[in-house]
Amino acid sequence: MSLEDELKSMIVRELKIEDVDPASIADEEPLFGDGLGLDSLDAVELVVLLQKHYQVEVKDMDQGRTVLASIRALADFVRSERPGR
Amino acid sequence: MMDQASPAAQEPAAVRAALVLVARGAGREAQARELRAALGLPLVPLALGEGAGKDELLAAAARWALERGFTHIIALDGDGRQAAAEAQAFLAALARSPCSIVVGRPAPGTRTTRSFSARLERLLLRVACGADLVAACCTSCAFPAAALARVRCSSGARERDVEFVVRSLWAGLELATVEVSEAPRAAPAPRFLDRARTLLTWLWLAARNINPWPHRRRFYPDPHAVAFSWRRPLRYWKYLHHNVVYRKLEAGEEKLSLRHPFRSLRILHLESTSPREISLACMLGIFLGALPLIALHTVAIVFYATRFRLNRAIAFYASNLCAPWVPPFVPALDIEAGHFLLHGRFITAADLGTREALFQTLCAEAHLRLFEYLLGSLLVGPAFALLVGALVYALAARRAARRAAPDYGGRSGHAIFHFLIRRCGVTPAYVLLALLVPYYVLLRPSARRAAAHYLKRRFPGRGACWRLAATMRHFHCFGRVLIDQTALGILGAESARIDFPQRSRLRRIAGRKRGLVLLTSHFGGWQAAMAAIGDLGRPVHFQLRREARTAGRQLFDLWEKRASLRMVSPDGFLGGMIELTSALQGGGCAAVMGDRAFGARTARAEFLGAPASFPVAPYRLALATGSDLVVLLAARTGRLSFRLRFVRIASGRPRAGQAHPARAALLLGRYVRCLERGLRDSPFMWFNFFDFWNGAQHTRKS
Repeated sequence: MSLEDELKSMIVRELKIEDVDPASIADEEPLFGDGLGLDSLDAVELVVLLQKHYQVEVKDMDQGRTVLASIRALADFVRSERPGR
Repeated sequence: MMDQASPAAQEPAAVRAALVLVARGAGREAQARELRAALGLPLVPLALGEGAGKDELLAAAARWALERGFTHIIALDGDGRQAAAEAQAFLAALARSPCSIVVGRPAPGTRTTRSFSARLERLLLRVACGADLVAACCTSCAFPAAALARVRCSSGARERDVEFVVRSLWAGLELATVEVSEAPRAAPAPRFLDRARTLLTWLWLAARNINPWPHRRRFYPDPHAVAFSWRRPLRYWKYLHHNVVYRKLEAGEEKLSLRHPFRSLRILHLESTSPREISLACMLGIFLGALPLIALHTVAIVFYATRFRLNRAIAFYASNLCAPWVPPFVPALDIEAGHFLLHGRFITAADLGTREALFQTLCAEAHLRLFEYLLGSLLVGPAFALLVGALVYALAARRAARRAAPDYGGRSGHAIFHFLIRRCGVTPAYVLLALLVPYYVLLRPSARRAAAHYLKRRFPGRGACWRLAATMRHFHCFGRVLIDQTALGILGAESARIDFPQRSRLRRIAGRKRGLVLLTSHFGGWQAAMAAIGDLGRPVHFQLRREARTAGRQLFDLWEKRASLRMVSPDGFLGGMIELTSALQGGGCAAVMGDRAFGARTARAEFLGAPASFPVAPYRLALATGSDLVVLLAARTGRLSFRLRFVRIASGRPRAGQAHPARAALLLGRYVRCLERGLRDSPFMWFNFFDFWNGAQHTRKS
């Protein structure tokens, strides 16, 4: 399973998004707003989940804006922060 | 509920509701048991296969319910996060009005999708049924079981819920809404074709509603109403008159009546008066007024304003901007535009000839002018309507914002107080305040209204004179707190005496480095509290919208110079939640307002005897990061002195995935109890001057 698929499954499972198949989420689809429809409270959970599962930390809103833009951006961030993976 | 098909049913039927759980999933059975235990309502057993659609499930449920003598169905969809509370709210709404279809509406302050397509959908639905339907809130609803047999829908599964609500309203059911504590999670963005099909469906419904041909009514909540019949058309026109003139208002049971013209006029002016509705009523009036509906303008305007549930009086007044008896600019513009469309040039004075020839020309070419009038009005009408609608919306929104969040003092007022404090200390400022408060309270009704929302609930049953005196005292307290916090900023934190016996305990909690959420409120001098807790040994990230003219801006300047206090703007990306989460994960502190949502999700909690909306972010933040959560209250006790105390309401360590809304609701309840206790001891220390219970979460300027 690729990191992108792992992240999609984690988001759907942990954030309890109903009626969404992880496979149907496009890698470039925006996570917040009109895309997957996540909001600021989901962002809190997502930042905590990233720390818990991948030991990576999103520190501020400038970084968050880039990192949480899409699944692809999130996966790139996790890869860059965990070079051993 | 009156049912013309069964004349025996002439009295309102008692509500016997059955629950239908439409959601599927692993937790469904457990949720069903939980609901049955919590509500005591029978649950419709669904024996259909997993592949069955929602409409089949509901049809089967309706048959089941009707066979067993149930009158209504409460269909719950979604993830059921607030299922029991929602079902109870639906049941209460049905009990109030049995011949209704009940749907959810987002709580005030809930962030909804604001994309162009979402706005277009909402507008089309408004035209289709005259109600502000949020499509995502129609998935759960409650309605008479018979409605499913009588209301036919033709759209696909995606649009079926909303179409059912719209057609039920057409069929005569009334609309009732209940507040949904947390807005349903937005569905993932649909594909282009799906979105286009949805928009086409709404467009079709809107077009059908614009068509003046009456909808076929299948429910008759009004015992005086009758069905249309070609054999007795006058009886139907009488019913139409009844429907228009005696329509019940949502706010109460007052009705229009020719016998009470002043009361009727007041009602007409009070219905549907949100800025959006006023603007839409103006647009409708101007659009119809611009059309050459000679001698039919008023009838058309009242008919469509009623059908779209807009303010009829405002639509009528607006249409007069286009009337020929005011300077007939709009009819003339219509004719000019029509002439230009047909001939490529405008009519000039030379075309009309001499004065004698003018009347001959007008009579001879009347049919041509009328056609040009019609053609031109199709262009000028919408353009003029949009222009006036936008202008009216801006003015009405500004007026509503002023009424909801009055700005006391202004720039010069702040400057005078700052000068006095800087040059002479706080005593002259207190004296000036004592002179100004009666002026504000007596001469500004908006000030009295702003304070009355709280005072009526904190001191129910008190008379008008007592409340006037209490309002003065309330504003006096508020003013003194503002002076003190301004003085703190100008003269320095050491100028105030802050009594905080629990300081070392709070330092110990912060020192555990597992994250600490400080929940502040618009109670007393919370800015002073922040000045006092600046030495917790850990940096405090404070989520705060900083406004240029706030009375304590010097205090904010002071904070920014201190390394221990960092301000996080709620207007930044995701409301600054990433910074706060990161700070808490690092064992730091985050200070968040517990009574100001900043546009994020809210939940309802009973506060001073009535439900009010509070933000859920602080609790979800604490639960997700496993932080401690303390409520901080800072009451003013005298001249430049405050007493600070805190109550720890959460110290558990549930990690991500366990931040269940029920746990957040529990913490919210504890916070509200703390706030109520604080207000019991210091009743004039509440400084949220807007309708906290019924209004959206506004940002007050002070």
